[in-house]
Amino acid sequence: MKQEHKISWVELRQIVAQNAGVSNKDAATFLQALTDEIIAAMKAGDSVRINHFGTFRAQQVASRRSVNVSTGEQIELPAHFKPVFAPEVAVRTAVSGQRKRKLAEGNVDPIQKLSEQADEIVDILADMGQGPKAEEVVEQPAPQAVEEPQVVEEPQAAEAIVQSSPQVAEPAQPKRKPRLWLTAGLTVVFFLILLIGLVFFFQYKMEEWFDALRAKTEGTELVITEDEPFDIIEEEDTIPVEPTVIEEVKPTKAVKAPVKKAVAKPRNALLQREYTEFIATIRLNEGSRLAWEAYKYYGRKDLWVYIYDANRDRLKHHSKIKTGTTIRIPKLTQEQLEQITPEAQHEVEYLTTIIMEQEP
Amino acid sequence: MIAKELIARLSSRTGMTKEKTTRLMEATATGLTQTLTAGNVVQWMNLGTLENKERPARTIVHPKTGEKHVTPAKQVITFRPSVSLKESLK
Repeated sequence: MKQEHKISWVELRQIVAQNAGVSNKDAATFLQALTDEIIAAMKAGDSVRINHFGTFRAQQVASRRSVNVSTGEQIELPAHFKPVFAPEVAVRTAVSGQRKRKLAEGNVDPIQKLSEQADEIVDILADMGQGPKAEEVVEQPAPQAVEEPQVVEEPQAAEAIVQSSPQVAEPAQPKRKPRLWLTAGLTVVFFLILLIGLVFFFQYKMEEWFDALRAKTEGTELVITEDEPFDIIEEEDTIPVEPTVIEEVKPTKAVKAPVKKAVAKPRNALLQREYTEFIATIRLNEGSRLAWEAYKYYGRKDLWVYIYDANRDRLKHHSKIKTGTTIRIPKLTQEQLEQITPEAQHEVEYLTTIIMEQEP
Repeated sequence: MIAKELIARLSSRTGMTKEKTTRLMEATATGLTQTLTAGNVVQWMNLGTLENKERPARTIVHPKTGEKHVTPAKQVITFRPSVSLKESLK
């Protein structure tokens, strides 16, 4: 596309004459005759095919309605013929191939340009009589670089140019620089990420400690009001399984004494509890909580002890439930579900106590 | 009109031999193809202008599936008929 220009009639005549090896005059008569033939054929509604080039023909255009833009009135454009040209496939591919070549050239261009510029700078510097070598060119300060002040002012820009122009053969020194920068930057980023991670970790830990502390204070409160039911267990849904151990062991110990007295009698009966009916079988997922399952199936979180009790063979410890374990939800009596009678309440309290006493 | 017919007509019109006309036809075709491939514009007197143009990339919709595709840009030969030819055909 570099030498794009319009080929006039005269030039076309010359090209044809040259290609065919005939005089310009003959070529002119021939082209004139060809043009006349094409036009005549088009007028007759025929098509003219020039081998290895394409086909000229008259195409019919149907009449259509349109609107006069200025007046808004409807007009009908009459049917007519219009001249069209369809190039042959070989010509089409040749032209689109030319585009591919052009694109390929375009891709190479910037690098070539840069290398050419670099060469020019080297030449200019050589002309100035100082005869510096190619390696020194880029590193030397301002006064000598006439054409490209940026190259010398900014070392990074200079390096970019050097890298993309293989002609200016640079030794290791400037090439090593960007790598150094890269490694330095990467280390900084790495340490930053590490720092952020540490901050988050400590924040999490601190929260855990605070939770434990809070639980302690609540536990002491519980000692004073002995008859209070297990509020702490209801909080379980907000706290992950593992921390519950720390929180719950203390309050239960605090309440243990009165409970034991109350439920001293039916202890054996409670230990021999048997679950025969089950309402569901579930698989524990990541994040499953027994208390939450209890809330789902019984409507009360503190009844999780029954679920645990019914699945003792599968769950080794109440705070260490494993994902993927299949557990069965036992059916509870109405009395157990409602928790109105003192017997039922004692049962739950006792179960909780013995489950919590279990060694981890 | 096929090539043979065209050459017969042209040779009778110009008074040249058929071989010479054939050679001229081939020369015209190759000459036009070369000039157009080089990216030049051919102004053909009384007939119109042949031009090597870039057709920009555009999105097309598959009529059956409704999928949208991007057809890449490509070079095409366009023919712009002269005004006199258009008027004479109307």
